[in-house]
Amino acid sequence: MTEIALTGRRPGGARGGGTALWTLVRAHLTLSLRTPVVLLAVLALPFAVLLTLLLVVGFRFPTIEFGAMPGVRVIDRLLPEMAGTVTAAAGILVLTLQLSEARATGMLRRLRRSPMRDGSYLAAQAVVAVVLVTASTVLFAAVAFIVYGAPRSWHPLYLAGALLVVAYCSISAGLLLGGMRMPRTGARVAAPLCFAMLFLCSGAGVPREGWEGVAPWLYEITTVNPLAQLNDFVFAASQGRLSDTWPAVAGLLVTAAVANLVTRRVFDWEGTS
Amino acid sequence: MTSLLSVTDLSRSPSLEEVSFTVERGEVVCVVGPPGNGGTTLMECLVGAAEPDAGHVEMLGVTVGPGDRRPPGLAAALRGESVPGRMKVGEALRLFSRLYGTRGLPRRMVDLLDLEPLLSRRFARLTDGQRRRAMLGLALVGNPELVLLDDPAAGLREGSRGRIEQAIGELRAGYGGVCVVLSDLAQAERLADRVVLLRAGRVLAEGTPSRLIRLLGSTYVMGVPPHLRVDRLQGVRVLPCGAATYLYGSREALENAIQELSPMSGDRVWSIRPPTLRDAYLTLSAVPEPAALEGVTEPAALEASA
Repeated sequence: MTEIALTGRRPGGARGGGTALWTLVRAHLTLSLRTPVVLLAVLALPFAVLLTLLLVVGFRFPTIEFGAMPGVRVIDRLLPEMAGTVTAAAGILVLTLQLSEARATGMLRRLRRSPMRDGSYLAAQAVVAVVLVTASTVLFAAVAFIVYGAPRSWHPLYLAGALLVVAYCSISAGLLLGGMRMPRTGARVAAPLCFAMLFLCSGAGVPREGWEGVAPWLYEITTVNPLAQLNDFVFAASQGRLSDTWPAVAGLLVTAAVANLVTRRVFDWEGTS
Repeated sequence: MTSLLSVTDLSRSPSLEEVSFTVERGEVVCVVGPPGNGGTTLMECLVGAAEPDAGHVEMLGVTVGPGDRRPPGLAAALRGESVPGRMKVGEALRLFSRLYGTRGLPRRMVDLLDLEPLLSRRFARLTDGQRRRAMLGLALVGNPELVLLDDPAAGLREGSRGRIEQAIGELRAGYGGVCVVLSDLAQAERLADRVVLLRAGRVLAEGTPSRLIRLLGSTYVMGVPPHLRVDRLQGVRVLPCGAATYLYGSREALENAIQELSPMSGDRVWSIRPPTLRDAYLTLSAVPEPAALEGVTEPAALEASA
Protein backbone atom coordinates (compact mmCIF):
# COMPACT_ATOMS: atom_id res chain seq x y z
CA MET A 1 0.00 0.00 0.00
CA THR A 2 1.48 3.31 -1.01
CA GLU A 3 1.50 6.00 1.59
CA ILE A 4 0.74 9.56 0.65
CA ALA A 5 3.65 11.76 1.49
CA LEU A 6 3.79 14.97 -0.48
CA THR A 7 0.38 15.25 -2.06
CA GLY A 8 -3.00 13.70 -1.68
CA ARG A 9 -4.53 11.68 -4.48
CA ARG A 10 -7.90 10.21 -5.03
CA PRO A 11 -7.57 6.68 -6.35
CA GLY A 12 -7.80 6.63 -10.13
CA GLY A 13 -7.58 10.37 -10.63
CA ALA A 14 -9.59 12.19 -13.26
CA ARG A 15 -9.15 9.62 -15.98
CA GLY A 16 -11.61 11.00 -18.39
CA GLY A 17 -15.10 12.37 -18.40
CA GLY A 18 -16.11 15.89 -17.55
CA THR A 19 -13.54 16.75 -14.90
CA ALA A 20 -10.46 16.00 -16.98
CA LEU A 21 -11.99 17.53 -20.11
CA TRP A 22 -13.00 20.75 -18.35
CA THR A 23 -9.62 21.00 -16.64
CA LEU A 24 -7.79 20.58 -19.92
CA VAL A 25 -10.09 22.97 -21.79
CA ARG A 26 -9.54 25.66 -19.19
CA ALA A 27 -5.77 25.23 -19.19
CA HIS A 28 -5.47 25.21 -22.97
CA LEU A 29 -7.86 28.09 -23.47
CA THR A 30 -5.76 30.17 -21.08
CA LEU A 31 -2.60 29.15 -22.90
CA SER A 32 -4.13 29.90 -26.31
CA LEU A 33 -5.12 33.39 -25.25
CA ARG A 34 -1.48 34.02 -24.32
CA THR A 35 -0.17 32.74 -27.64
CA PRO A 36 0.48 35.51 -30.17
CA VAL A 37 0.10 33.24 -33.22
CA VAL A 38 -3.33 32.11 -31.99
CA LEU A 39 -4.54 35.65 -31.46
CA LEU A 40 -3.10 36.62 -34.82
CA ALA A 41 -4.68 33.75 -36.76
CA VAL A 42 -8.02 33.62 -35.01
CA LEU A 43 -8.63 37.23 -34.19
CA ALA A 44 -6.23 39.90 -35.37
CA LEU A 45 -5.55 38.93 -38.97
CA PRO A 46 -9.07 37.97 -40.06
CA PHE A 47 -10.50 40.86 -38.14
CA ALA A 48 -8.05 43.27 -39.72
CA VAL A 49 -8.98 41.94 -43.15
CA LEU A 50 -12.65 42.19 -42.30
CA LEU A 51 -12.24 45.76 -41.17
CA THR A 52 -10.27 46.60 -44.30
CA LEU A 53 -12.87 45.01 -46.49
CA LEU A 54 -15.61 46.70 -44.52
CA LEU A 55 -13.98 50.04 -44.94
CA VAL A 56 -12.81 49.72 -48.54
CA VAL A 57 -15.38 47.44 -50.14
CA GLY A 58 -18.25 47.74 -47.75
CA PHE A 59 -18.43 51.49 -47.65
CA ARG A 60 -17.82 51.87 -51.36
CA PHE A 61 -20.31 49.23 -52.40
CA PRO A 62 -22.55 48.71 -49.39
CA THR A 63 -25.59 47.84 -51.36
CA ILE A 64 -24.12 46.04 -54.37
CA GLU A 65 -25.71 42.67 -54.73
CA PHE A 66 -23.41 39.75 -55.03
CA GLY A 67 -23.15 38.14 -58.44
CA ALA A 68 -26.08 35.98 -59.33
CA MET A 69 -27.61 36.09 -55.87
CA PRO A 70 -30.24 38.77 -55.66
CA GLY A 71 -30.52 40.38 -52.27
CA VAL A 72 -27.07 39.38 -51.09
CA ARG A 73 -24.72 42.26 -50.46
CA VAL A 74 -20.94 42.01 -50.71
CA ILE A 75 -20.82 42.53 -47.01
CA ASP A 76 -23.16 39.59 -46.45
CA ARG A 77 -20.60 37.32 -47.99
CA LEU A 78 -17.75 38.55 -45.80
CA LEU A 79 -19.09 37.22 -42.50
CA PRO A 80 -19.38 33.54 -43.48
CA GLU A 81 -16.07 33.78 -45.29
CA MET A 82 -14.32 35.19 -42.27
CA ALA A 83 -15.98 32.67 -40.01
CA GLY A 84 -14.85 29.89 -42.32
CA THR A 85 -11.32 31.31 -42.37
CA VAL A 86 -11.12 31.48 -38.62
CA THR A 87 -12.54 27.99 -38.24
CA ALA A 88 -10.05 26.49 -40.63
CA ALA A 89 -7.18 28.51 -39.15
CA ALA A 90 -8.06 27.40 -35.63
CA GLY A 91 -8.02 23.79 -36.74
CA ILE A 92 -5.08 23.65 -39.09
CA LEU A 93 -2.75 26.43 -38.02
CA VAL A 94 -3.33 26.69 -34.29
CA LEU A 95 -3.72 23.01 -33.50
CA THR A 96 -0.66 22.01 -35.49
CA LEU A 97 1.54 24.57 -33.77
CA GLN A 98 0.15 23.91 -30.30
CA LEU A 99 0.59 20.15 -30.58
CA SER A 100 4.11 20.33 -31.98
CA GLU A 101 5.08 22.71 -29.19
CA ALA A 102 3.51 20.49 -26.54
CA ARG A 103 5.45 17.53 -27.91
CA ALA A 104 8.74 19.44 -28.18
CA THR A 105 8.56 20.59 -24.55
CA GLY A 106 7.64 17.12 -23.30
CA MET A 107 4.20 18.33 -22.17
CA LEU A 108 2.42 15.63 -24.17
CA ARG A 109 4.55 12.92 -22.60
CA ARG A 110 3.99 14.37 -19.15
CA LEU A 111 0.22 14.57 -19.69
CA ARG A 112 0.16 11.02 -20.91
CA ARG A 113 1.81 9.83 -17.72
CA SER A 114 -1.16 11.27 -15.82
CA PRO A 115 -4.42 9.32 -15.50
CA MET A 116 -5.91 11.46 -18.30
CA ARG A 117 -7.39 9.57 -21.25
CA ASP A 118 -5.82 10.30 -24.62
CA GLY A 119 -9.23 11.20 -26.03
CA SER A 120 -9.82 13.84 -23.34
CA TYR A 121 -6.77 15.78 -24.45
CA LEU A 122 -7.72 15.67 -28.11
CA ALA A 123 -11.33 16.56 -27.31
CA ALA A 124 -10.13 19.49 -25.21
CA GLN A 125 -8.13 20.79 -28.14
CA ALA A 126 -11.21 20.57 -30.34
CA VAL A 127 -13.39 22.31 -27.75
CA VAL A 128 -10.86 25.14 -27.39
CA ALA A 129 -10.82 25.58 -31.17
CA VAL A 130 -14.62 25.73 -31.26
CA VAL A 131 -14.71 28.25 -28.39
CA LEU A 132 -12.19 30.49 -30.15
CA VAL A 133 -14.10 30.27 -33.42
CA THR A 134 -17.41 31.04 -31.73
CA ALA A 135 -16.00 34.07 -29.93
CA SER A 136 -14.36 35.35 -33.07
CA THR A 137 -17.44 34.83 -35.27
CA VAL A 138 -19.74 36.51 -32.78
CA LEU A 139 -17.38 39.47 -32.72
CA PHE A 140 -17.35 39.70 -36.54
CA ALA A 141 -21.10 39.43 -36.69
CA ALA A 142 -21.53 42.13 -34.06
CA VAL A 143 -19.28 44.55 -35.93
CA ALA A 144 -20.84 43.80 -39.33
CA PHE A 145 -24.40 44.06 -38.04
CA ILE A 146 -23.75 47.23 -36.07
CA VAL A 147 -22.25 48.94 -39.14
CA TYR A 148 -24.58 47.59 -41.87
CA GLY A 149 -27.46 45.93 -40.13
CA ALA A 150 -28.42 42.28 -40.45
CA PRO A 151 -28.46 40.74 -43.93
CA ARG A 152 -31.80 40.41 -45.65
CA SER A 153 -31.27 36.72 -45.94
CA TRP A 154 -29.72 35.23 -42.82
CA HIS A 155 -29.80 31.70 -41.38
CA PRO A 156 -27.55 31.61 -38.32
CA LEU A 157 -28.38 28.01 -37.38
CA TYR A 158 -27.49 26.77 -40.85
CA LEU A 159 -24.30 28.82 -40.70
CA ALA A 160 -23.43 27.35 -37.30
CA GLY A 161 -24.02 23.85 -38.65
CA ALA A 162 -21.82 24.49 -41.67
CA LEU A 163 -19.11 25.96 -39.47
CA LEU A 164 -19.22 22.81 -37.36
CA VAL A 165 -18.59 20.78 -40.51
CA VAL A 166 -15.62 23.03 -41.40
CA ALA A 167 -14.41 22.82 -37.82
CA TYR A 168 -14.56 19.04 -37.86
CA CYS A 169 -12.61 18.84 -41.13
CA SER A 170 -9.98 21.38 -40.13
CA ILE A 171 -9.56 20.05 -36.59
CA SER A 172 -9.12 16.57 -38.03
CA ALA A 173 -6.43 17.94 -40.37
CA GLY A 174 -4.79 19.84 -37.49
CA LEU A 175 -4.75 16.79 -35.22
CA LEU A 176 -3.21 14.72 -37.99
CA LEU A 177 -0.57 17.32 -38.87
CA GLY A 178 0.17 18.12 -35.25
CA GLY A 179 0.06 14.47 -34.26
CA MET A 180 2.79 13.48 -36.66
CA ARG A 181 6.37 13.66 -35.53
CA MET A 182 7.08 16.93 -37.22
CA PRO A 183 9.84 19.17 -35.86
CA ARG A 184 8.57 22.37 -34.32
CA THR A 185 10.36 24.36 -37.00
CA GLY A 186 8.62 22.24 -39.65
CA ALA A 187 5.28 22.98 -38.08
CA ARG A 188 6.16 26.66 -37.96
CA VAL A 189 6.67 26.64 -41.71
CA ALA A 190 3.94 24.20 -42.72
CA ALA A 191 1.13 25.70 -40.69
CA PRO A 192 1.48 29.28 -41.99
CA LEU A 193 1.78 27.89 -45.52
CA CYS A 194 -1.51 26.08 -45.04
CA PHE A 195 -2.94 29.28 -43.69
CA ALA A 196 -1.76 31.27 -46.71
CA MET A 197 -3.26 28.65 -49.04
CA LEU A 198 -6.45 28.85 -47.09
CA PHE A 199 -6.54 32.58 -46.95
CA LEU A 200 -5.70 33.33 -50.55
CA CYS A 201 -6.77 30.28 -52.48
CA SER A 202 -9.99 29.07 -50.96
CA GLY A 203 -12.09 32.16 -51.20
CA ALA A 204 -12.20 32.34 -47.44
CA GLY A 205 -10.03 35.39 -46.93
CA VAL A 206 -10.46 36.91 -50.36
CA PRO A 207 -13.56 36.05 -52.43
CA ARG A 208 -12.61 33.61 -55.20
CA GLU A 209 -14.43 35.55 -57.83
CA GLY A 210 -12.15 38.48 -57.09
CA TRP A 211 -9.18 36.61 -58.55
CA GLU A 212 -10.93 35.73 -61.81
CA GLY A 213 -10.05 39.00 -63.49
CA VAL A 214 -6.92 39.90 -61.54
CA ALA A 215 -5.03 36.58 -61.48
CA PRO A 216 -6.77 33.82 -63.45
CA TRP A 217 -4.11 31.24 -62.49
CA LEU A 218 -4.89 31.84 -58.81
CA TYR A 219 -8.57 31.45 -59.57
CA GLU A 220 -7.81 28.08 -61.17
CA ILE A 221 -6.08 27.02 -57.96
CA THR A 222 -9.09 28.03 -55.91
CA THR A 223 -11.33 25.75 -57.95
CA VAL A 224 -9.41 22.64 -56.88
CA ASN A 225 -8.71 23.71 -53.31
CA PRO A 226 -10.81 21.54 -50.96
CA LEU A 227 -11.08 24.44 -48.57
CA ALA A 228 -12.82 26.40 -51.33
CA GLN A 229 -15.53 23.74 -51.36
CA LEU A 230 -15.98 24.19 -47.65
CA ASN A 231 -16.06 27.92 -48.07
CA ASP A 232 -18.82 27.78 -50.69
CA PHE A 233 -20.65 25.38 -48.43
CA VAL A 234 -20.52 27.83 -45.49
CA PHE A 235 -21.64 30.74 -47.60
CA ALA A 236 -24.54 28.82 -49.08
CA ALA A 237 -25.53 27.64 -45.59
CA SER A 238 -25.60 31.22 -44.35
CA GLN A 239 -28.13 31.85 -47.10
CA GLY A 240 -30.20 28.90 -45.97
CA ARG A 241 -29.50 26.57 -48.86
CA LEU A 242 -27.39 23.57 -49.64
CA SER A 243 -24.36 24.39 -51.74
CA ASP A 244 -23.69 22.69 -55.05
CA THR A 245 -20.44 21.65 -53.47
CA TRP A 246 -22.15 19.31 -51.00
CA PRO A 247 -20.79 16.14 -52.67
CA ALA A 248 -17.26 17.52 -52.32
CA VAL A 249 -17.99 18.44 -48.71
CA ALA A 250 -19.32 14.96 -48.06
CA GLY A 251 -16.06 13.64 -49.49
CA LEU A 252 -14.13 15.93 -47.17
CA LEU A 253 -16.13 14.65 -44.20
CA VAL A 254 -15.27 11.09 -45.13
CA THR A 255 -11.62 12.12 -45.57
CA ALA A 256 -11.70 13.76 -42.14
CA ALA A 257 -13.11 10.59 -40.61
CA VAL A 258 -10.31 8.59 -42.24
CA ALA A 259 -7.82 11.19 -40.97
CA ASN A 260 -9.18 10.57 -37.45
CA LEU A 261 -8.45 6.87 -37.78
CA VAL A 262 -4.97 7.56 -39.12
CA THR A 263 -4.36 10.07 -36.31
CA ARG A 264 -5.32 7.44 -33.77
CA ARG A 265 -2.57 5.22 -35.13
CA VAL A 266 0.20 7.72 -35.84
CA PHE A 267 -0.28 10.32 -33.09
CA ASP A 268 3.11 10.69 -31.47
CA TRP A 269 2.70 11.43 -27.78
CA GLU A 270 6.22 10.66 -26.75
CA GLY A 271 8.31 12.42 -29.38
CA THR A 272 10.43 9.26 -29.32
CA SER A 273 13.84 9.59 -30.92
CA MET B 1 8.24 -8.85 -3.85
CA THR B 2 7.84 -7.29 -7.29
CA SER B 3 10.27 -4.48 -8.05
CA LEU B 4 8.82 -1.07 -8.84
CA LEU B 5 11.25 -0.87 -11.72
CA SER B 6 13.10 -3.70 -13.36
CA VAL B 7 15.50 -2.96 -16.20
CA THR B 8 17.08 -5.91 -17.97
CA ASP B 9 19.83 -5.72 -20.59
CA LEU B 10 18.71 -2.34 -21.88
CA SER B 11 20.82 -1.21 -24.83
CA ARG B 12 20.75 1.76 -27.13
CA SER B 13 23.67 2.33 -29.42
CA PRO B 14 26.03 4.03 -28.79
CA SER B 15 25.10 5.24 -25.30
CA LEU B 16 23.85 2.20 -23.38
CA GLU B 17 24.97 -1.39 -23.32
CA GLU B 18 23.11 -4.14 -21.49
CA VAL B 19 22.17 -2.10 -18.44
CA SER B 20 20.30 -4.02 -15.75
CA PHE B 21 19.13 -2.95 -12.30
CA THR B 22 16.02 -2.78 -10.13
CA VAL B 23 14.31 -0.24 -7.88
CA GLU B 24 12.35 -1.52 -4.89
CA ARG B 25 9.74 0.19 -2.72
CA GLY B 26 11.11 2.70 -0.23
CA GLU B 27 14.44 2.81 -2.02
CA VAL B 28 16.49 5.52 -3.71
CA VAL B 29 18.67 4.11 -6.45
CA CYS B 30 21.24 6.48 -7.92
CA VAL B 31 22.56 5.74 -11.37
CA VAL B 32 25.87 7.50 -11.22
CA GLY B 33 28.42 8.50 -13.77
CA PRO B 34 29.87 11.63 -15.31
CA PRO B 35 27.82 13.32 -18.05
CA GLY B 36 28.01 11.46 -21.33
CA ASN B 37 28.06 8.03 -19.75
CA GLY B 38 24.52 7.11 -20.69
CA GLY B 39 22.46 8.27 -17.69
CA THR B 40 20.24 10.67 -19.61
CA THR B 41 19.74 8.16 -22.44
CA LEU B 42 18.72 5.58 -19.85
CA MET B 43 16.07 7.93 -18.46
CA GLU B 44 14.84 8.77 -21.95
CA CYS B 45 14.46 5.07 -22.73
CA LEU B 46 12.56 4.53 -19.49
CA VAL B 47 10.04 7.33 -20.06
CA GLY B 48 9.63 6.55 -23.76
CA ALA B 49 11.45 9.56 -25.17
CA ALA B 50 14.08 7.31 -26.77
CA GLU B 51 13.70 3.88 -28.28
CA PRO B 52 16.07 1.22 -26.98
CA ASP B 53 17.68 -1.25 -29.38
CA ALA B 54 17.17 -4.14 -27.00
CA GLY B 55 16.21 -4.95 -23.46
CA HIS B 56 13.20 -5.30 -21.21
CA VAL B 57 11.65 -2.71 -18.92
CA GLU B 58 8.97 -3.44 -16.37
CA MET B 59 7.61 -0.64 -14.22
CA LEU B 60 4.91 -0.93 -11.58
CA GLY B 61 4.23 -4.46 -12.74
CA VAL B 62 3.70 -3.49 -16.37
CA THR B 63 6.03 -4.31 -19.23
CA VAL B 64 6.52 -1.17 -21.30
CA GLY B 65 7.92 -0.87 -24.78
CA PRO B 66 8.65 2.10 -26.99
CA GLY B 67 5.55 4.20 -27.54
CA ASP B 68 3.60 2.39 -24.82
CA ARG B 69 1.75 4.49 -22.33
CA ARG B 70 3.58 4.55 -19.02
CA PRO B 71 1.57 3.57 -15.93
CA PRO B 72 0.05 6.56 -14.08
CA GLY B 73 2.00 5.76 -10.91
CA LEU B 74 5.19 6.78 -12.73
CA ALA B 75 6.50 10.31 -12.58
CA ALA B 76 9.59 11.73 -14.16
CA ALA B 77 11.53 14.96 -14.38
CA LEU B 78 13.95 14.88 -17.26
CA ARG B 79 16.36 17.65 -18.01
CA GLY B 80 14.99 18.41 -21.46
CA GLU B 81 11.35 18.34 -20.42
CA SER B 82 9.36 21.44 -19.67
CA VAL B 83 5.91 22.83 -20.23
CA PRO B 84 4.96 25.66 -22.61
CA GLY B 85 6.74 28.77 -21.41
CA ARG B 86 3.52 30.80 -21.31
CA MET B 87 2.06 28.61 -18.60
CA LYS B 88 2.32 29.77 -15.00
CA VAL B 89 3.76 27.46 -12.39
CA GLY B 90 0.57 27.55 -10.32
CA GLU B 91 -1.57 26.79 -13.38
CA ALA B 92 0.56 23.79 -14.30
CA LEU B 93 0.46 22.47 -10.74
CA ARG B 94 -3.32 22.89 -10.56
CA LEU B 95 -3.77 21.26 -13.97
CA PHE B 96 -1.86 18.15 -13.00
CA SER B 97 -3.36 18.08 -9.51
CA ARG B 98 -6.82 17.99 -11.01
CA LEU B 99 -5.85 15.35 -13.53
CA TYR B 100 -4.70 13.23 -10.61
CA GLY B 101 -7.96 13.89 -8.78
CA THR B 102 -6.63 16.32 -6.18
CA ARG B 103 -8.32 19.62 -5.48
CA GLY B 104 -6.17 22.70 -5.04
CA LEU B 105 -2.43 22.89 -4.75
CA PRO B 106 -0.39 20.19 -3.03
CA ARG B 107 0.67 22.47 -0.15
CA ARG B 108 3.22 20.15 1.41
CA MET B 109 5.13 19.84 -1.82
CA VAL B 110 4.81 23.57 -2.59
CA ASP B 111 6.31 24.39 0.81
CA LEU B 112 9.00 21.74 0.61
CA LEU B 113 10.27 22.94 -2.77
CA ASP B 114 9.63 26.61 -1.93
CA LEU B 115 7.39 27.06 -4.94
CA GLU B 116 5.07 29.65 -3.37
CA PRO B 117 6.95 32.68 -4.81
CA LEU B 118 6.93 31.06 -8.25
CA LEU B 119 3.24 30.20 -8.51
CA SER B 120 2.27 33.31 -10.43
CA ARG B 121 5.31 33.29 -12.69
CA ARG B 122 5.46 31.87 -16.19
CA PHE B 123 7.87 29.04 -16.90
CA ALA B 124 9.63 31.12 -19.55
CA ARG B 125 10.64 33.62 -16.88
CA LEU B 126 12.11 31.18 -14.39
CA THR B 127 15.79 30.67 -13.82
CA ASP B 128 17.17 27.22 -14.49
CA GLY B 129 17.10 26.32 -10.81
CA GLN B 130 13.55 27.59 -10.33
CA ARG B 131 12.38 25.75 -13.41
CA ARG B 132 13.88 22.51 -12.21
CA ARG B 133 12.25 22.87 -8.81
CA ALA B 134 8.93 23.58 -10.51
CA MET B 135 9.33 20.59 -12.81
CA LEU B 136 10.14 18.37 -9.87
CA GLY B 137 7.03 19.70 -8.18
CA LEU B 138 5.00 18.83 -11.27
CA ALA B 139 6.48 15.33 -11.29
CA LEU B 140 5.52 14.80 -7.68
CA VAL B 141 1.92 15.94 -8.05
CA GLY B 142 -0.28 12.89 -7.79
CA ASN B 143 1.95 11.14 -5.28
CA PRO B 144 3.71 8.79 -7.69
CA GLU B 145 4.89 5.36 -6.67
CA LEU B 146 7.95 5.46 -8.88
CA VAL B 147 9.90 8.62 -9.71
CA LEU B 148 12.61 8.95 -12.34
CA LEU B 149 14.84 12.00 -12.07
CA ASP B 150 17.65 13.13 -14.30
CA ASP B 151 20.23 15.06 -12.28
CA PRO B 152 17.58 17.25 -10.67
CA ALA B 153 20.01 19.31 -8.61
CA ALA B 154 22.91 19.70 -11.05
CA GLY B 155 24.27 23.21 -11.01
CA LEU B 156 21.83 24.41 -8.35
CA ARG B 157 22.70 26.38 -5.22
CA GLU B 158 22.97 24.65 -1.90
CA GLY B 159 19.49 25.74 -0.80
CA SER B 160 17.71 24.39 -3.87
CA ARG B 161 19.83 21.27 -3.81
CA GLY B 162 18.90 20.63 -0.18
CA ARG B 163 15.19 21.06 -0.91
CA ILE B 164 15.34 18.60 -3.76
CA GLU B 165 17.21 16.08 -1.65
CA GLN B 166 14.63 16.52 1.11
CA ALA B 167 11.80 15.89 -1.36
CA ILE B 168 13.51 12.71 -2.54
CA GLY B 169 13.92 11.63 1.07
CA GLU B 170 10.23 12.18 1.73
CA LEU B 171 9.31 10.09 -1.29
CA ARG B 172 11.39 7.25 0.10
CA ALA B 173 9.78 7.70 3.50
CA GLY B 174 6.40 7.49 1.80
CA TYR B 175 7.36 4.07 0.50
CA GLY B 176 7.85 5.20 -3.06
CA GLY B 177 10.76 4.22 -5.26
CA VAL B 178 13.13 6.78 -6.72
CA CYS B 179 15.64 6.30 -9.50
CA VAL B 180 17.96 9.29 -9.92
CA VAL B 181 20.64 9.80 -12.51
CA LEU B 182 23.43 11.80 -10.90
CA SER B 183 26.84 13.05 -11.92
CA ASP B 184 27.71 14.17 -8.40
CA LEU B 185 29.05 11.15 -6.58
CA ALA B 186 29.11 12.94 -3.22
CA GLN B 187 25.41 13.63 -3.59
CA ALA B 188 24.81 10.03 -4.58
CA GLU B 189 26.65 8.88 -1.47
CA ARG B 190 24.34 11.05 0.67
CA LEU B 191 21.11 10.10 -1.07
CA ALA B 192 21.36 6.55 -2.30
CA ASP B 193 20.29 3.32 -0.72
CA ARG B 194 21.85 1.66 -3.71
CA VAL B 195 24.15 2.92 -6.43
CA VAL B 196 24.54 1.77 -10.00
CA LEU B 197 27.88 2.98 -11.31
CA LEU B 198 27.71 3.67 -15.02
CA ARG B 199 30.78 3.93 -17.19
CA ALA B 200 30.60 4.42 -20.98
CA GLY B 201 27.03 3.11 -20.97
CA ARG B 202 27.81 -0.08 -19.05
CA VAL B 203 27.15 -0.95 -15.44
CA LEU B 204 30.50 -0.89 -13.69
CA ALA B 205 29.26 -2.04 -10.30
CA GLU B 206 26.10 -2.00 -8.22
CA GLY B 207 25.52 -2.00 -4.49
CA THR B 208 25.13 0.17 -1.43
CA PRO B 209 27.58 3.09 -1.28
CA SER B 210 29.32 1.58 1.73
CA ARG B 211 29.71 -1.76 0.00
CA LEU B 212 31.18 -0.15 -3.10
CA ILE B 213 33.58 1.88 -0.97
CA ARG B 214 34.57 -1.26 0.93
CA LEU B 215 35.66 -2.73 -2.39
CA LEU B 216 38.72 -0.51 -2.05
CA GLY B 217 39.75 -2.39 1.09
CA SER B 218 42.08 -0.52 3.44
CA THR B 219 42.97 2.06 0.83
CA TYR B 220 43.32 5.72 1.80
CA VAL B 221 43.26 8.72 -0.50
CA MET B 222 45.22 11.92 -0.85
CA GLY B 223 44.77 14.67 -3.41
CA VAL B 224 47.78 16.62 -4.68
CA PRO B 225 48.12 19.38 -7.26
CA PRO B 226 48.49 18.01 -10.78
CA HIS B 227 51.87 19.64 -11.44
CA LEU B 228 53.72 17.56 -8.83
CA ARG B 229 55.76 14.65 -10.11
CA VAL B 230 54.30 11.55 -8.53
CA ASP B 231 55.50 8.85 -10.92
CA ARG B 232 58.33 7.72 -8.63
CA LEU B 233 56.25 7.23 -5.52
CA GLN B 234 56.30 3.70 -4.13
CA GLY B 235 53.18 1.72 -3.16
CA VAL B 236 50.61 4.26 -4.34
CA ARG B 237 48.28 4.23 -7.25
CA VAL B 238 48.06 7.49 -9.19
CA LEU B 239 44.89 8.75 -10.83
CA PRO B 240 45.15 12.15 -12.52
CA CYS B 241 41.73 13.79 -12.59
CA GLY B 242 41.11 17.34 -13.72
CA ALA B 243 42.31 19.85 -11.14
CA ALA B 244 43.98 17.28 -8.89
CA THR B 245 45.94 14.06 -8.93
CA TYR B 246 44.71 11.40 -6.53
CA LEU B 247 47.00 9.02 -4.78
CA TYR B 248 45.56 5.74 -3.46
CA GLY B 249 47.35 3.43 -1.10
CA SER B 250 47.80 2.37 2.49
CA ARG B 251 48.13 5.08 5.13
CA GLU B 252 51.80 4.23 5.47
CA ALA B 253 52.46 4.51 1.73
CA LEU B 254 50.71 7.89 1.61
CA GLU B 255 52.67 9.16 4.62
CA ASN B 256 55.84 8.16 2.79
CA ALA B 257 54.57 9.98 -0.27
CA ILE B 258 54.07 13.13 1.80
CA GLN B 259 57.69 12.91 2.88
CA GLU B 260 58.85 12.62 -0.70
CA LEU B 261 56.59 15.39 -1.99
CA SER B 262 57.40 17.87 0.79
CA PRO B 263 60.55 19.29 -0.86
CA MET B 264 58.54 20.04 -4.01
CA SER B 265 55.53 21.53 -2.30
CA GLY B 266 57.03 23.78 0.35
CA ASP B 267 54.98 24.16 3.51
CA ARG B 268 51.82 22.46 2.25
CA VAL B 269 50.03 20.13 4.63
CA TRP B 270 48.46 17.13 2.96
CA SER B 271 45.33 15.47 4.24
CA ILE B 272 44.91 11.73 4.07
CA ARG B 273 41.30 10.65 4.19
CA PRO B 274 39.22 7.49 3.89
CA PRO B 275 37.90 6.74 0.39
CA THR B 276 34.55 8.00 -0.86
CA LEU B 277 32.14 6.71 -3.46
CA ARG B 278 33.91 8.87 -5.97
CA ASP B 279 37.18 7.11 -5.23
CA ALA B 280 35.43 3.80 -5.68
CA TYR B 281 34.17 4.99 -9.03
CA LEU B 282 37.58 6.21 -10.15
CA THR B 283 39.27 3.04 -9.00
CA LEU B 284 36.70 0.72 -10.48
CA SER B 285 36.62 2.51 -13.77
CA ALA B 286 40.42 2.06 -13.74
CA VAL B 287 40.95 4.16 -16.80
CA PRO B 288 41.75 7.69 -15.75
CA GLU B 289 40.50 9.76 -18.64
CA PRO B 290 40.43 13.37 -17.47
CA ALA B 291 38.09 14.39 -20.27
CA ALA B 292 35.53 11.83 -19.21
CA LEU B 293 35.77 12.83 -15.58
CA GLU B 294 35.32 16.55 -15.99
CA GLY B 295 31.72 16.37 -14.93
CA VAL B 296 32.46 14.68 -11.63
CA THR B 297 31.95 17.17 -8.84
CA GLU B 298 34.89 17.47 -6.52
CA PRO B 299 34.06 16.61 -2.92
CA ALA B 300 35.49 19.38 -0.75
CA ALA B 301 37.40 16.91 1.37
CA LEU B 302 39.45 15.88 -1.63
CA GLU B 303 41.15 19.19 -1.87
CA ALA B 304 44.59 19.35 -0.40
CA SER B 305 44.53 21.96 2.33
CA ALA B 306 47.31 24.46 2.58
